[in-house]
Amino acid sequence: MMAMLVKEPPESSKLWQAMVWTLRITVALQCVGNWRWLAQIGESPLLSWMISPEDVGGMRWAEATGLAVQQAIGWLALGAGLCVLLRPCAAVLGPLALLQLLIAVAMWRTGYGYPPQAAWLSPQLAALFPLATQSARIAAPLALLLLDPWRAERPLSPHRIRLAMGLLLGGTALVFLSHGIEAWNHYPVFIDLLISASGQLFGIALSQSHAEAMLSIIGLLDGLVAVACLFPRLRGVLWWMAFWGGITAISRVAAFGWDPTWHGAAIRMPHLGVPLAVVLYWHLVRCKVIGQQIQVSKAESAPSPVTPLEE
Amino acid sequence: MHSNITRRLSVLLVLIAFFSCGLQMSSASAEEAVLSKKGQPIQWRLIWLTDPATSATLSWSTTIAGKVHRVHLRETNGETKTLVEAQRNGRYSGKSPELYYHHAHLTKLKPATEYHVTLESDGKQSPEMFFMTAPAEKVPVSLLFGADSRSGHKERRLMNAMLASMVAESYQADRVPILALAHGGDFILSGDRLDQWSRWMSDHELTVGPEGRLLPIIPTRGNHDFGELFNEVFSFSAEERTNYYALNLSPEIRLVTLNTETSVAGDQTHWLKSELEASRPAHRWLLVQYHKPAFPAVKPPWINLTHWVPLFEKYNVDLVCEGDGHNIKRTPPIRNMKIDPTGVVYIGEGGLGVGQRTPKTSRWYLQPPHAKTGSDHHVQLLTFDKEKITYRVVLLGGELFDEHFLPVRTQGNSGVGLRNAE
Repeated sequence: MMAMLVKEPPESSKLWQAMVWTLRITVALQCVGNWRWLAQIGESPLLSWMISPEDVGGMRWAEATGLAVQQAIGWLALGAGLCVLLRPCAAVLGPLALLQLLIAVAMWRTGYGYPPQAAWLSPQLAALFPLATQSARIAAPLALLLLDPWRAERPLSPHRIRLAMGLLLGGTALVFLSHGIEAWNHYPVFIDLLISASGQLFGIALSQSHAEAMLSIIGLLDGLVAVACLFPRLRGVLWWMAFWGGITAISRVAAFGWDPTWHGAAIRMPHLGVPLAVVLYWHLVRCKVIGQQIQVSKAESAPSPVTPLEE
Repeated sequence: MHSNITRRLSVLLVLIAFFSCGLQMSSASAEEAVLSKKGQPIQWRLIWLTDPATSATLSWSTTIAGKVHRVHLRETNGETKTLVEAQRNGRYSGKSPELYYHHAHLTKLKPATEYHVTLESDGKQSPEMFFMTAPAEKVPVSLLFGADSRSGHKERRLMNAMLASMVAESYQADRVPILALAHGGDFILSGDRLDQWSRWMSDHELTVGPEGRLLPIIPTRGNHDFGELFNEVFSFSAEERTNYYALNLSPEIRLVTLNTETSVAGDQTHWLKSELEASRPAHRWLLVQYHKPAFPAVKPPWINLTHWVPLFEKYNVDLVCEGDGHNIKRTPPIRNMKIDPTGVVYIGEGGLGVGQRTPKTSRWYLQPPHAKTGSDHHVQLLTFDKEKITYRVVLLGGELFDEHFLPVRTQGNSGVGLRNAE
């Protein structure tokens, strides 16, 4: 446990502000993507869950009702995105986190997304895989709720900050681990993404076998960084995760064109924003530690009671 | 012409009412009844994956592993019985229910010949059933296309009974026989759930009419049919990862089955190109089936719009059958993203049980009078003769929803496959 002498609350620093605004912009873009997806395009696991019959785990709503509810949610998400930029608050961020969780549950209930298969993994457990792939999208609004609350007592308690960082880090690790598993298993959507993007961007006719070889490497790397990021202070790993999360988010646009895929990139912004927020915070901690050491060395005095900023 | 169809559909309605009497039992209790037959052959299905004129695969399940699994085979008018051992036996992946598969690949069959079969597992026999191999002659034949039987179990069972009725009726004198059901995928909700597959296989028994005629199935993998069980149910090898293939329904009709659930842009597109290049000049009718639509009526288009549609247009595919959307759809002929009489017609979207969606008729390729869409449980009946494909949509209950004719293509000066009378 790293203990530090902190007189000023961390919220006053530029790095803190950069971290909070990273999360705000991330969640706002996520909201715009959700608006486009739910209110404009209209087809989502959420709708499928609402209108599917009970015999397959659905809610058996009428299609028109499901569409109306989904559209309303989409427009509310857009409004929430605007609120997040102006003034994040629990009334907005709580429902946003719940929406992301609901989408993950809908994916689980309707069999959307990649189905991992392994002899040791029961179908019931495998069906929960979307909760892992969606974890950063759920964590982003929740962490922002903890780190940038309206009318909360300042400075924020260390426990609160630790919890937020744990959510962001856990979300990032799960996203990279689950996507690493998909890549390692040569998820066909990823194969087509690589083939299409290499054709569109570089004019290269990538063969399927080469795409699969690349995915094996990507999968391995994703798995390694998912584990490595859980070790504190490996900032290079987090920078890589932010970079790679951003690349993969926008790769859909590169492969399949701006419309109708841009919302997919916006929804995946937490894959960039969440690790970026964590690494900014780690830089803040490091700056504080160095500043503290300089102060201590100058004063050559005994430390006063400690305030833990981070583990 | 139309009154003739009405009369036939009336006959069909009566047949459906008759065959549906046994469907009062719920799907779950019917499943229990099937699984209670300890050691007996159950859940039989006839699968076409290669050359249906000379081969077929008979598959069935048992609730215990057993030792000897075989098929008693004889020509309808023949005396000689042949015993064919099931070449592949094993336990389905998944713990519950405890079920074992048995696949007997029948080869060296005679074209257009009726075969009687009895399945046997350790001395316990199934009822005697029969099937017809595909013809080697250029004769009119019909094919059923349907998709999406993953939910709506009651409707799925009713639909299966209707298919059995339609097939039985098609073998009456002066009718065009229905050869098989091309299933466009999404058999069940979660492809790794054996309990769901078991229920589907039990329900599939209803496609066998009371007289015992088996309806061959030509399966397509849908997005819900993920996992190993699809291969185990439909007799693909355990290592099979592609699940795309092509077969001749007659010397004139080539059906290409594609897989939207594996890489679309990779090896499959190369295979499709060589397949269409070879089969187009050799066949009067060229059909394709797959699951996720390139010209959807409800959902956004899949990546096959970019990779496969140009090939369909280049090689003048006659008809493309799609699933996944849960509605009824027939587009106008499409080429270069616009309506063109020389283009390709896309039909289907799936209604073998699943709840129906409302088609988005504001899309340019779904607007009447060039297109026809709807929302009802249905199956597409395709009849091929020398001059045309007759496309009909039959609703659950026997009502005719849509009828359309696709004339045979002729080669124009530009090389584009024109259609006669267009």
